[in-house]
Amino acid sequence: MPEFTGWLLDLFDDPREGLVLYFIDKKGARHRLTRPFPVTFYALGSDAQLRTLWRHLSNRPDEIKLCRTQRMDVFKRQDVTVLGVTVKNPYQAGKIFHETAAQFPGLEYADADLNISLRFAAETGAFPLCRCQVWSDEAGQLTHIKVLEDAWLLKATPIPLRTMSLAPDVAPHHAKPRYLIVEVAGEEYHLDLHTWRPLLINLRALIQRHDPDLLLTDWGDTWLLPKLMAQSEKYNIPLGLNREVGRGVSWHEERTYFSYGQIIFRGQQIHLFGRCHIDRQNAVLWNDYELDGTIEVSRVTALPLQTAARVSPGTGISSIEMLTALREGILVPWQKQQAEMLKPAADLFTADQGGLVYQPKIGVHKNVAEIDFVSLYPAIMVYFNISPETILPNPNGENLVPALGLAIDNSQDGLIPKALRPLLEKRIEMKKHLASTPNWDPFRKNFKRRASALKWLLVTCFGYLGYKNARFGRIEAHQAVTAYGREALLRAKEAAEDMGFEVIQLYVDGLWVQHPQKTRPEDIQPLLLEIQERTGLPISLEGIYRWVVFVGSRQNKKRPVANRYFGFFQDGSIKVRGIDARRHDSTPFVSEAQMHLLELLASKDRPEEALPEAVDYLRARLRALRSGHVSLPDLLVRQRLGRKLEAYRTPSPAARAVMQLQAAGKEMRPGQRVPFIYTLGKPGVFAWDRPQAPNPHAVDVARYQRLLLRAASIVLESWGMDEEKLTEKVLSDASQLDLPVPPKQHPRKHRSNIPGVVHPAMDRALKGQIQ
Amino acid sequence: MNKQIISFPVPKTGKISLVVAPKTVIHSLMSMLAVLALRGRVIVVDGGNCFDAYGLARALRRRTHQIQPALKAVQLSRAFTCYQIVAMLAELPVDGTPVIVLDLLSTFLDENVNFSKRQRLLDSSLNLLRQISEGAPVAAWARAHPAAEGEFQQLLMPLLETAHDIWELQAPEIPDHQLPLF
Repeated sequence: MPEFTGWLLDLFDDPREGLVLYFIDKKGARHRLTRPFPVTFYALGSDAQLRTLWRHLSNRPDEIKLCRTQRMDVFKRQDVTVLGVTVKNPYQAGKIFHETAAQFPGLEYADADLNISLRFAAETGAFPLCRCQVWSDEAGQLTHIKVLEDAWLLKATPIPLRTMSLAPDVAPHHAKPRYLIVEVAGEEYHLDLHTWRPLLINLRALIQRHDPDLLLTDWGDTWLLPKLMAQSEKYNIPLGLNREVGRGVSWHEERTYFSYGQIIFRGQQIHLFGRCHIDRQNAVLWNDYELDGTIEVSRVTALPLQTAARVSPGTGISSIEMLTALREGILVPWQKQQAEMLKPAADLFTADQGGLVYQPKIGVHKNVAEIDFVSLYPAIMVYFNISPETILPNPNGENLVPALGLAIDNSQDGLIPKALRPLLEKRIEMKKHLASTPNWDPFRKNFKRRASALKWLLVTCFGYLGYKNARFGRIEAHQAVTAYGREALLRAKEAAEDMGFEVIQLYVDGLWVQHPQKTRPEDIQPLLLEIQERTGLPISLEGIYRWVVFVGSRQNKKRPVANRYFGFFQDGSIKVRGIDARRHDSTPFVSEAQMHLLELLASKDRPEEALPEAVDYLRARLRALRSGHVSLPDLLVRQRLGRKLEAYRTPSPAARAVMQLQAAGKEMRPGQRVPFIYTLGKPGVFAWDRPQAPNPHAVDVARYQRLLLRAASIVLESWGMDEEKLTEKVLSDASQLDLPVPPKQHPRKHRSNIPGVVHPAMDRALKGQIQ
Repeated sequence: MNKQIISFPVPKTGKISLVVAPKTVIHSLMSMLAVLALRGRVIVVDGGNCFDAYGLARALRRRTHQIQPALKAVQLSRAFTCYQIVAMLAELPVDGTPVIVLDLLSTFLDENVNFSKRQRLLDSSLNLLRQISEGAPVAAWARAHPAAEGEFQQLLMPLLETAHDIWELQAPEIPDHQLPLF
């Protein structure tokens, strides 16, 4: 019986062989194994309905096994009778299920549309990219798999992935690319995009020679791979993008959806079989956590790498919950039917409050400690056992939720806490590990990216509890989490005040406190212990600010705004929230200038000493802007198209830019970010991706000047330099243009025309006359 | 539309009253709800997350100083999917308690669910409303959705056929150009 140790790279269903698995052998080989893998979905309904369904399915020609059984319905908190439909080949399961659901729409269904990798992980424990020991028979069938490193291990053995990177030389929506840059095994190749035949031959040779596990592309989903496949067909030169012979690529349609009040666009996707494809431009949060984080997401969610790269953290957390449910024998509803409990309208005033915010005191504060609960909402879910099935409408019971007429059933662990606990523990461990890892450590970046991936999963798990399409969401559970959160923050505030601290701000999961004598991290430790004691939740010191500034609202400077501040920590780092330097839609010209001003302030013992230098810097930036020395990409604004063009009554600058693109034959969808420059005259913008180059002289300098001075004043106004004063101060000098150095002697041809200057010939003539 | 001009008569048992109007009608609906709440228990099924608790409190305060008992008499449940609307209506107690459904069609305009399926679920919801109306007053509000005009009209038809009293209100037309000041 062949046996090897390696990593599970990819798995997918197959019409003939059931399940196909690709492994990376630690000795370098790649293995393709198969395995029969029957899958089961369940139907729920009355006995009569299930009998009718039984008769219907019994007459189908497919290989199906039917059984009447009991499964746990988490919302009903009990086992329910279901009809289990086991389909021998997982490839056919989806089709059979959808036909059944269409013919029997009155039934409820469960475990119906689950990713095959989740089912495999639930059954065998093996998840994508796990290190495992594998046994197979002579026919290449997987007989046994043993996981050697689980998904919660802090330091997993690195995977020897063979990666090939493919990218056009420029963004294809911006300009026509000239060549394709291929990077593989430390070599870089430039293939001419004007001569397709040699390009295809060379690319095929490179793929065959290196046999990459991962194709890492730029615009591979939306431009490059579709183009390559079309040309490959035209010239009849197969590229071998798939490792799996005889399979085409898998296309996933583009889509637009709402998330946290924003409209989001995801381009179409191309998935491969036997090797993975990730489009860096279409991957979720790639800029934040790159490949290391994506691998982490794949491991903990048990989603295949190419899927993990493209799904939102919400889908990731949903996968973790579904995997837990499968392992626990709990039904995963296809369409959640559970609605909110009937509750008195008066309860809404207490229940629907969200996180607690205590508005900050506007201005500069020195020696302020920022204390944050560690992953507050996930920690509440885990430590207080909050899950859809553990919330009871029992105002007289034990374990009452603060201020709500609800109680928590602690007789057993809920599904959500079970799913989240290992994730939360790993995140906390990683945070601790990162804190003790020096900057020079080569693994620090890897850890940081993986920690970020876990952070995003945990951030979304709370929202998912209240999300309408979440399989295990429930409003009451969502409300219970925020109720515990408010209570925890109030207790923390009381603890701080009892210990003589002044609370400067509270914001959902953090508090900013100040004490004239307690200005070192070790002075804050007793407070942390006290808060932990009073709340039962982990808390940590984010840092102590040398100074922090809370700024007022733009409309009314006297009105405080939560979560809009900047500050300089004792360790030398700068933290910024809610101002231009942090916003995605501000131009690099403005955000970099604002950040530079912050660094200037931070470089002085007394920040006000930096003001003259700050004014000089702004003058220099304005001079550069007026003289055209700021590059156009630095002036780019990237705004999201919020709706379809026809839905605008007064088009926003982004909409006007999209109109220009549309006129040039380029389509944009709601949710896509549109880069543009503010220009003079109408329509006031120039879409960056138009075919023609922008005219640098058309830049609306006055507008960029306003943006710069406004952003600068946000940073400087706490030291007496509000927008009006700053504008006056900066422009009093900046209006003086650099004049060219005058020549020592005027050109001869001009002399005669200049009053007071006499032409030499005339001079001689005049002298002669006199003589 | 002036938000306080329209006042609706309270619904009667055996009939389904339907209001088709833009979202500004919510103030009038809260006034109607306040009248019902002062008489006894009322069930509100909110299909568009638009229940205005402060509006209801204000409407009650115009009628009584004791608003807490009336606020407690209003039993609310919110649905965020068309599946939830059907499940919620199926579970409502049939004991003569008046039922008000807010923004009934909103969840049925969800493009993530196949349109024929949404139509079928709407039919189920209307059947349930019919059954409830036999023993209790029922009022429903269909919020006019200009953005989904085609689908909205198709979904509105069976609702119009089911309702006994129909109130249809329109938002005032907004001129395309800026009106002159003088």
